[in-house]
Amino acid sequence: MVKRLLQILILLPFLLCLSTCDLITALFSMSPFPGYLAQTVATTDMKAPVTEFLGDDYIHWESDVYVLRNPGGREAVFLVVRRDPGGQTVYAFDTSLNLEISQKVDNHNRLHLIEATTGDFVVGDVRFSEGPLPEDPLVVDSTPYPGLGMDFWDRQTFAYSGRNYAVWSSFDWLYCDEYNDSWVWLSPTGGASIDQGEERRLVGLGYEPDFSTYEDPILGAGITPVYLFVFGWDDSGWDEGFLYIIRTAAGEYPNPSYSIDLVADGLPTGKCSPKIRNVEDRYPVFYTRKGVVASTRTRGTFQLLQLDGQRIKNFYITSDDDDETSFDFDINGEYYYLFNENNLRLYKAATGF
Amino acid sequence: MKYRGTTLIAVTCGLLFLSAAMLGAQVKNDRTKPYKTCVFPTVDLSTTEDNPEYQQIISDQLHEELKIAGFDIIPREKWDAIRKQQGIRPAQLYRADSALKVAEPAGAELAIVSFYSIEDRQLVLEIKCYDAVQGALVAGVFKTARVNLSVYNVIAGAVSELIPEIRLIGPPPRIESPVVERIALVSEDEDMAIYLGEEGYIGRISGGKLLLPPIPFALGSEITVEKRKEDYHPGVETLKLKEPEMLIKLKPLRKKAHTATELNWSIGQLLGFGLAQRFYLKPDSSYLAAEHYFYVQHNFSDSKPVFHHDLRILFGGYLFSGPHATLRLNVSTGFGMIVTYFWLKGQPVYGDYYWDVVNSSFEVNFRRFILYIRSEQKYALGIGSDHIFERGWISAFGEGPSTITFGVARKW
Repeated sequence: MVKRLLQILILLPFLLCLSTCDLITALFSMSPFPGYLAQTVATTDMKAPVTEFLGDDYIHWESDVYVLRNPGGREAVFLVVRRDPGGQTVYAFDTSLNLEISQKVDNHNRLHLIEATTGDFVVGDVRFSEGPLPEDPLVVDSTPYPGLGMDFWDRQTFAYSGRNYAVWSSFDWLYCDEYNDSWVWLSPTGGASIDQGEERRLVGLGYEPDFSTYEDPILGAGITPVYLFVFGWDDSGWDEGFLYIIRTAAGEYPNPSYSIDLVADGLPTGKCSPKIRNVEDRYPVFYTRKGVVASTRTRGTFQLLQLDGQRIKNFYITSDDDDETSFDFDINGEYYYLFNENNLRLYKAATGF
Repeated sequence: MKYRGTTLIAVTCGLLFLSAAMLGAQVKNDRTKPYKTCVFPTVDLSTTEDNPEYQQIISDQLHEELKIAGFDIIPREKWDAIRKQQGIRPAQLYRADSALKVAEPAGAELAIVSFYSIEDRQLVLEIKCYDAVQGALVAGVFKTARVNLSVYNVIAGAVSELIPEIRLIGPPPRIESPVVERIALVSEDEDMAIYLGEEGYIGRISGGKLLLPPIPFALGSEITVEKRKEDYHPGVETLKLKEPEMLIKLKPLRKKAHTATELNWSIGQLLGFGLAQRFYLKPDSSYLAAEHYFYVQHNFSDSKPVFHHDLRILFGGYLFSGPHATLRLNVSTGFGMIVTYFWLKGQPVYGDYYWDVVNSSFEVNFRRFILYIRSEQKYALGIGSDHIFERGWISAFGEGPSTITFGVARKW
């Protein structure tokens, strides 16, 4: 009896493996420890610089991680640590997590994009330029940038054709401000209806600069896509979150050319994905060239989605709260960079996509 | 004829015996005419032949006491001729069927049989009285004593107890249910002591069996035996007496486990295994355990493995059921530390201390093995210089229990 039970116990995983390898892979990679630990390919300890910046007299602090790639193909990782009260420090790393330079500024700003004309990295109020040689570390332009004196905390930004755009949502409407490359406001605030009469929230934006290689088949050739990730709550009573992925053309901003709204017009043409269920808004939604990454309702587990909303796979990063961990994905979807606010370490982890 | 294993057998059977004597109804008897009575010689059922003298002593005393009490004793010559005719040996005359075959043709109304055994200088004496016409048990008495001078008093006492019982009988009732003639207990637990009732030691399993004394349990009745053996958990078993001759296989006793070695496997830690050693403070009941679970964390893609050693000390015990139960509920609590190190160079070694708040497991309890499924609740303490978990619950599932563990334990 015991022998037979033991045989079954031993054989069970192998039998299951024959039928569902995905399930087995998921089962065997489950861990009480954060998933990124096993995916880590590099880390750097930021305890000393961060604790030095924070000092003792603060009430609260938080962090953000951004990964930006300029048109020349240079990728950089930025860690922004904000203290309250106080300003913020932006730490710039290469993709091997070598700290290249850091800059402290007096105010908080969540702006992060590639500057419209120069291709410089703009994070917070700091502009980082490349050195004369590709291997040179980034150089900080000490002039505050863009000098608007505003925090883009609730806005998604992108730069296209010499113009900067800031996009945000309020109730059922998408708003867009257009600026020139000196961040001078150019025109009245534009926008479009997202989903008439329904409360929707823009939780991420994907900007694909390389439209020739990564052409969007629905938008068509020669179009630079801007993907909007719009979150909503279902009214079914289960409080289940869902997501729309909406394809727009960068050239149409600040007024995307939808006659009714982004969802109603987009659904029949495929520009708007069907409702993607099992989504949480604990973390932002990320665009990568391997797919869109969104948090699932299972704590710590994320899903990789096609632009049409089809799920590619689920994977586990961490069950830490979002106020303990911040991260961002590189645009190629090969790595993600994560900062653990508990141990003050920055991790580079392979996505496995 | 000597019976092995019938030593000191009827110790507690006295009570049962007397209750079995219900067949002799306790009715007031107005009869003045003396009962014609066959008093058969006492039979020695000892396993040795060291004490034959008590046969004669008991027989004579019984005979004398009954005579004095006014019973009409049928002379031996009369019934002995019938015995020979029937081909019954004197040593068989303690059995009801043999005695009645002789007594009834001899014109007796009552048949009195007696037997004894002496083991380790302990005397067990039983005297029974049957209605020779109806073939029913009328009365019985059972005595034990150390073999010394008090034996004579014991014999006198037994006879004097028996006589009033016989005098009380009225017209003998019909036997409604037959009795069990012979019960043999079979067990693989050699040298296991068997008790009947609360204090009745009736013998030990020897050569794989024990023959119970000829106690007239009613057919269809139940008896409860207690089994005891050194370093084994005592067991109680209720036996249904269905046949006149019963061969009953007793369930084996559970050996007391003083330690147990566990091998286990936890969800969320599947690329590894755990080994644990339990040290029972009370056998199969409460324990201290030390456990080491080693596992690798890997996501089967572009991944560098991370190694975890989960070390913990637990205190646990069983609720609601004893060591003989097949299903048992086990709870434990304790403290532990998970040591984590990386394949990747330049990483610190982390140490996460935790309180293992409560583990609850359902166990399938076999004689030597335990199979179990265990739910564990761990709470990270968030202390130490290099730790991964902040203070809070640890879970492989995001929320809920820390893990579910499957395991097997070998008891020693």
